[in-house]
Formats: sequence, C-alpha cells, structure tokens
Amino acid sequence: MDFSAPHVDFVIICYVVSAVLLLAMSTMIVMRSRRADRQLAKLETERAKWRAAKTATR
Amino acid sequence: MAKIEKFANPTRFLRLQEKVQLWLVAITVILFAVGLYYSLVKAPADYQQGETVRIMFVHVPAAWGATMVYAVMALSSAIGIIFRHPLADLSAKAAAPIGAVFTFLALFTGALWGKPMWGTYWVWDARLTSFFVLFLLYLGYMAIWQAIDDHHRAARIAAIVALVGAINLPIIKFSVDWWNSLHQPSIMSMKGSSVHSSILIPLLIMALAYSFLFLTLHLLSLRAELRKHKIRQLQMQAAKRV
Repeated sequence: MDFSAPHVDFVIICYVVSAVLLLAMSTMIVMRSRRADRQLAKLETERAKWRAAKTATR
Repeated sequence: MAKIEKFANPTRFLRLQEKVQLWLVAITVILFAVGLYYSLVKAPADYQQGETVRIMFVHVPAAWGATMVYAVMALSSAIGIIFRHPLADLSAKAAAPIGAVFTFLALFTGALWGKPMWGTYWVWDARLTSFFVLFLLYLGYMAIWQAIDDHHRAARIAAIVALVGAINLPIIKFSVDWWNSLHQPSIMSMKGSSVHSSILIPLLIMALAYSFLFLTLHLLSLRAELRKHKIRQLQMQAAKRV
C-alpha cells in the first residue's frame, strides 16, 4: 500500500474503526458469556445447598 | 431436518458449541490474517480509485454480513413463531447486536469511501437509505427486547418486527437495479463477478472472515442467552422458596 497516495487517511480510518469495533464487540460478547457462566454456577451451587439443607431437616 | 432438530436441543447445542468454539476462533483469526495481508499488501491499487479501493475489503464484507445476519434473524424468528422452538427466538436475539455492528460499519466505511469517490459522505439514494433503514430495524428489534420484561411477549413482538423488516432485504439487493443510484451495481451476480481476481480473492477471503466471525460470536452469544434464560428460571424458583 502506498501511504503517500491521496485519500489514504480514509483507508486507514476505515480499517482502524472496523478493527476497534469488531474487537470491542467480540470482547463484550466473551465477557457476557463468562459472566453468565459464573452467575449460573453460583445459583446452581446455592440451589444444591438449599436442597441438601431441606433433605437434612426432613 | 432430523439432524438440525438434534442440535437444536439446548443441552446438545451447548455441548457442540464448546467443542467447536476453539476451532471457529482459530479459523476466524487465520482468515482475517490472510484477508488483511491480501487486502493491504497483495491487492493492487485501482487505476481509477487508487488506494481507496482497499476500503472495499472492509465495506463490502460488512454490508454482506449485515444482510446475511438479518436473514438469519428473520429465519430464526419465523422458526420461533411457527415451531415455537426455544432456541429460535434466542438465536434471533443473539444475532441482532452483531448485525447492528456490521450495518454501522458498512454505513461508516461506505461514507468514508463516498467522500473521495462521489464528493460527498452521504446521499439519500435507494441503496444508502434502505441500508440505513436496516440499521434502524436492528436498533428497533433490540429496543423491543430491552423494553418488554415478559420473555414470550418480547419474543413474539420482536419476531413480527424482524419478519416485516425482512421486506427490506430484496429492496437493499435490487435497489441499484430498480432506481438510479450513485452506488455502484452489485459486483456478484448469477453470471459471475465483474471484478478482477486480484480484487475478488481478497474480497471473498474477507467476506469469509466476517462470516466466521459472525458464526463464532453468534454461537457464543446464544450460549450466553441460554445461560441467562436458565438464570431467570433459577431466580424465580429461589424467589418462590423465600
């Protein structure tokens, strides 16, 4: 790519903005998925504890 | 069809998603690396457009991706309405933000390509306007899910909006043929491609990279939606216990 060509700044902005937005979206989706996994694991542990306590009181 | 139904089972889907996730990430990264090398290094500058032709390698895949994601969303919504399958509505919901980002990128990079080529960032012609409508449809679809608490009601209304909005897809595709437009005609048709292979190859590699990125993120996002659905159920059960 010729960096001295006219309008090359438009090309660079397009690639940088695309990269930033796609990376940000990917990161957000991965973080959301991990957060949901953690939250579900926590709730399932709580439910297992509640069931164990209920069985013990019978 | 039986195979599709088999993997449409949420538990089986989660197992399959875990198995293929790393492969999908690897394929996506490789496709982007090769695609960017071809787009920025191997592809020649155009004799008319000069270096600005390279914008095509991020603009066109984003635009193709945006319409493809909407088609996936509309199809999932139709399956959700007809078969009331638990994964279908969540699939449409998971696809929407990815489609919205692709659409924004297509509009943004298109505007930056338009300035040096047409002398303006934006014109209200059929292709650009119909693509802007697509962006609004994505935003509206996501707003419905945000605004309505009842999952089933939100799913029904959002699915209807997605299906009605699907009318926009052929309008986007054929707008450059039906109306006079500043936008160039389609470069791919049933007869083949109107561009040279030195431009077509990087374009197709980047389009494949965007498609794999969508597939990877869609499956991951669908996994999160399924988890959130289960979390809601557990929270309701916990509330009943108290």
